[in-house]
Amino acid sequence: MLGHGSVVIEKAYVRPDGTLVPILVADTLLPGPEPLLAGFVLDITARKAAEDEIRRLNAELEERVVERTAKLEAANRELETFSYSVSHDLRSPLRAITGFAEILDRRYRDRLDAKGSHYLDNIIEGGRHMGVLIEELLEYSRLGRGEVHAEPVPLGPILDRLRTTYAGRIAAGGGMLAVAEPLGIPVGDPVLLEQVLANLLDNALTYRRTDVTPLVTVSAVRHNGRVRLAVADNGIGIPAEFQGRILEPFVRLHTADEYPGTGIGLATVRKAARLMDSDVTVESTPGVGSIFSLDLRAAAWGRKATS
Amino acid sequence: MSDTELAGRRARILLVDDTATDVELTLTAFEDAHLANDVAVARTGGEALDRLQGRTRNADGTRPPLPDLILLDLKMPGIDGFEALRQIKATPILRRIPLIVLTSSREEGDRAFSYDTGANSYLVKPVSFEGFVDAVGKILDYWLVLNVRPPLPTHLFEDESVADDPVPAPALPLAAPETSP
Repeated sequence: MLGHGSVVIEKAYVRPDGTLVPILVADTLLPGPEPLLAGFVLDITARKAAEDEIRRLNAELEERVVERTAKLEAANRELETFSYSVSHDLRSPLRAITGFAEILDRRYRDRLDAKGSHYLDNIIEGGRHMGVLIEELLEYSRLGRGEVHAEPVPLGPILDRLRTTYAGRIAAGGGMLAVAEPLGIPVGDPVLLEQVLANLLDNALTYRRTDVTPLVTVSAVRHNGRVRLAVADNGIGIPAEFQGRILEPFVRLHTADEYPGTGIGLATVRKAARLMDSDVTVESTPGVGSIFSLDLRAAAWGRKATS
Repeated sequence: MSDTELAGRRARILLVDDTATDVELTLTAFEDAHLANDVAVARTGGEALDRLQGRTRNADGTRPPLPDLILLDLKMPGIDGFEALRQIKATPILRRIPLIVLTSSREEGDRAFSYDTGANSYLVKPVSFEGFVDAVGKILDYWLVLNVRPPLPTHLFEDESVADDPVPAPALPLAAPETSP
């Protein structure tokens, strides 16, 4: 911007051949006993072209982002529908396998020798395991098919319910579920958060060390407008090289004989966390224990909201 | 539980399911639950409707009587369980027959549709056979023994001339559609 008494305009000159030349005209009045008008005319064709190019590129970029997002969303939906129908359609043949194996068990067990009996047990056990796998896969693909809510979720009632659900398994190991009060109130989806806590608790109770009393501590510490929800255990821990992969579906570090599991539980936790715009962090020391945590937005305090 | 008896006769069940192994499992579950009922099997919704609407003949030319209970799978080729359910519950008389959806679907939409369309129960086929025997025993005990329902005629059309007509009955003369969009 030039000083007082100045004029800057963009306009176009017409060439003799009728084409337009974009120009910038700047005039300024130089005061004095004999005022002077100083000015220049600048051909801004190149600048105009560059501006147009930037506008065009921006629009194109925006269009591409919209296109990619739509494609990605479609791919995600397709994947979810696919895994849902796969796990759904797998149920029918599985029902035939386990159903008839159980009928053999009920009606023909006494006609099988020890080896035949053992094979039948393997079929029944394999079928049961596949049943659990399918249910968990369904659970995993179902996550996020509905609406994801974002509301303040008090964790106390959820933990009370889980304490009841897992009472048997906690008591079986002589273990303890500790809740570190006070619990901050995160903003999230109540169903997803319950699923997250249930799966983390299940995980902590499964991968325990046999030489110590299992202790699982749930905390939700409020800090800087965030709530760090953490489930800590004193279990077997995860070697550093596997900590990155443990949250992927079907990744297991142990055989089913050592620890039962399907490798979907922690993947479900991560998917739920991401649906709530968070993620899961793993800190673990083999032979000491693991901490799984989610960083969530904190609910506004009631009194602040009203003042 | 012994044989389910209705007014001195065995209860008639129509099982509608396209999966042969599922049909066999269901029949075996009836056996193991000691339910010796007369079970007729239809492999599609269309077959079930033919039977219920009097377009099916036994080997001796008679029409099979209406069942006391319908067990209906949802996902079937051709006229599926959804359409069969809709037509059965839109037909006077037929809508009185207790109808239990027997499916592997836990989908909320399927459950909602079934109940909204008038299904009397919704049963998810358990993967475990033992669970299945248990569920079948309980549900048949309830719907065939404890539950009291209005009387049913033996056939949808009592007029035998309809039955003797070799031309199939016109499509759904009774299914006054009460459909809403």
